[in-house]
Amino acid sequence: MNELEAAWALTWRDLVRFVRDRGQIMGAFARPLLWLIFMGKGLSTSVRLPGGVDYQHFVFAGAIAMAVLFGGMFQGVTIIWDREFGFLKEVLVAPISRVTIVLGKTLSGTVVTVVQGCLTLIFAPLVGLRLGFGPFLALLGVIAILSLAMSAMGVVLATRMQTFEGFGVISNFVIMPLYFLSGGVFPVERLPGWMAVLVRVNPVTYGVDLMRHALAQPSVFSAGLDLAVLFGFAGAMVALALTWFRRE
Amino acid sequence: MPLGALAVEVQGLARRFGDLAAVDDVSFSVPTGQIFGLLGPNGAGKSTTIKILCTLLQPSQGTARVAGYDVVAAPAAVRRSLGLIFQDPAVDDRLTARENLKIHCMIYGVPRCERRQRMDEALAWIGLTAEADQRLRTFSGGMRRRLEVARALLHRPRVLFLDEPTSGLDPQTRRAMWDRLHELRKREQLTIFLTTHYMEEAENCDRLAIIDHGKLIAEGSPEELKHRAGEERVTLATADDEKAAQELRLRFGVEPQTTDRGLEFAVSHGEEFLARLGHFPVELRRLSVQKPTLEDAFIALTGHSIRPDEASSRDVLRRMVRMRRRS
Repeated sequence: MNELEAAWALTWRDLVRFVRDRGQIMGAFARPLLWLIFMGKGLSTSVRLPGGVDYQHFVFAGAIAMAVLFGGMFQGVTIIWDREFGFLKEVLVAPISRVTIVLGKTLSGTVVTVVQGCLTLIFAPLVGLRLGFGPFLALLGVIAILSLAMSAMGVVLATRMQTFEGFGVISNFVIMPLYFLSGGVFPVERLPGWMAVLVRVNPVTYGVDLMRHALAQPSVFSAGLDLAVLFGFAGAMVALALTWFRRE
Repeated sequence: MPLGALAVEVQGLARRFGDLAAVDDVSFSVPTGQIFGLLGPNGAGKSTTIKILCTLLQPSQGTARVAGYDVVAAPAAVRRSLGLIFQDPAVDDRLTARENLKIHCMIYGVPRCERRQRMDEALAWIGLTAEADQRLRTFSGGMRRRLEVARALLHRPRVLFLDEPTSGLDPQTRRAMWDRLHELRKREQLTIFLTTHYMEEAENCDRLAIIDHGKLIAEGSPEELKHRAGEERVTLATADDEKAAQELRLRFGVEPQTTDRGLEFAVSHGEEFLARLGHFPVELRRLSVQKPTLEDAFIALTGHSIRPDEASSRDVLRRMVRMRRRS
């Protein structure tokens, strides 16, 4: 009982911090707008996709993935900040288990990231996408699992990093490749062999593909496979976070 | 915890990092209700010892008990029995004072029905009732420190650990903090265990243990330790130094030296000596007694002075960032 409340305390703290951080909230609004309007509108005038999908609609799943990748990773990695500026010590010496700390942190990351992902959904009408209730719920589900996976991944990386400056490296060498090779920015059916392999080993690809199922856009894999990979990815990340954080 | 038991009991404690013995066969005990200080330079093993006692680090050898619980066998019970104030501030400055306290109550399992009252009392005690709902960003370093002390006591610990509690605080705040700690000890029979490399701070302790290079060098009250550093120096200015010197030699068996301030000589207890002077045949003009300081004691016991801060460049950077956040 105490462990549950302790996990909630950590989650509650991150939510309060998020709501008070104007910069982060503005970023959460601005990022999807930039991708949907500038990137989407800009490219839709010159890019012709197979199956005749409007590029603005095509990049919608990508914009969601972008918000979730950045948001989740950032939330997980804030552990480094807590470590550097003390708060983590107060938590580590409390009579609660490491599992509780990891779960609390992952849960808060997930909630904050889901909020950021949903902001993108709100902008759907701007690009002429009409989301029914069913597709909306389905997208929400995908966002939730992907958010959980990315927050846990942030925690995993945080256990390996000493300073927050490393976040730039993560952004360039983890988030960007995961994003560009996810099928969110361009279709993945006719890529050269080596790139197709990279796309297929990238778990985010299956999240984006599942969103395409929900949006009734052409998809590459079956919804069942997408779901299985996504859950496996999230589970593996949470397990890894629990294992590595124990040494903290 | 059984009554009259030892609050902290350490036996043959050692912690090695590779080849380095950070703590090397250390034994001591702290009775309930005492203020006990671990005095030593940076890198002497103070923080390592406190980390082991707070179950943040496993000992390589030996045993340690806090409030009667073994730190290795019963870490959860140890954690519930202790309050810890870290060397660096460990509060969340985007939250308010009350929110910081609330999180502590939640992660330490303070009974829900008592939380409000305990938080109100704590805020009143440290004089932050009016600022309770302000974010810590606006707080000074001293206000944050006070909040940390109040927070560490919310779950009613038996032993309060303080790691370099007043480093970076101005003298006035430092004194106010010590007044609070003395008050606490009197009111709640709380045991206070602290590490420090400030001599003035060490003076506040009932008992001190001097630690250097991981080894315990000496233990005792500040007075006892000072006494071990050597004798006290008495200076007498008289109307006739030559006659006075002869008198001192004959009647008291001391060997005074003539200096420009008068006659100087060493005795074990200067003030008692002056009381025994009685009807001294020579007119005395000025008397003074100079006692060895803790610093003298430290040098006498370890062979060197407490080394100045050898902070790495990263520590310096971190401190600078923190100062900016404090101001």
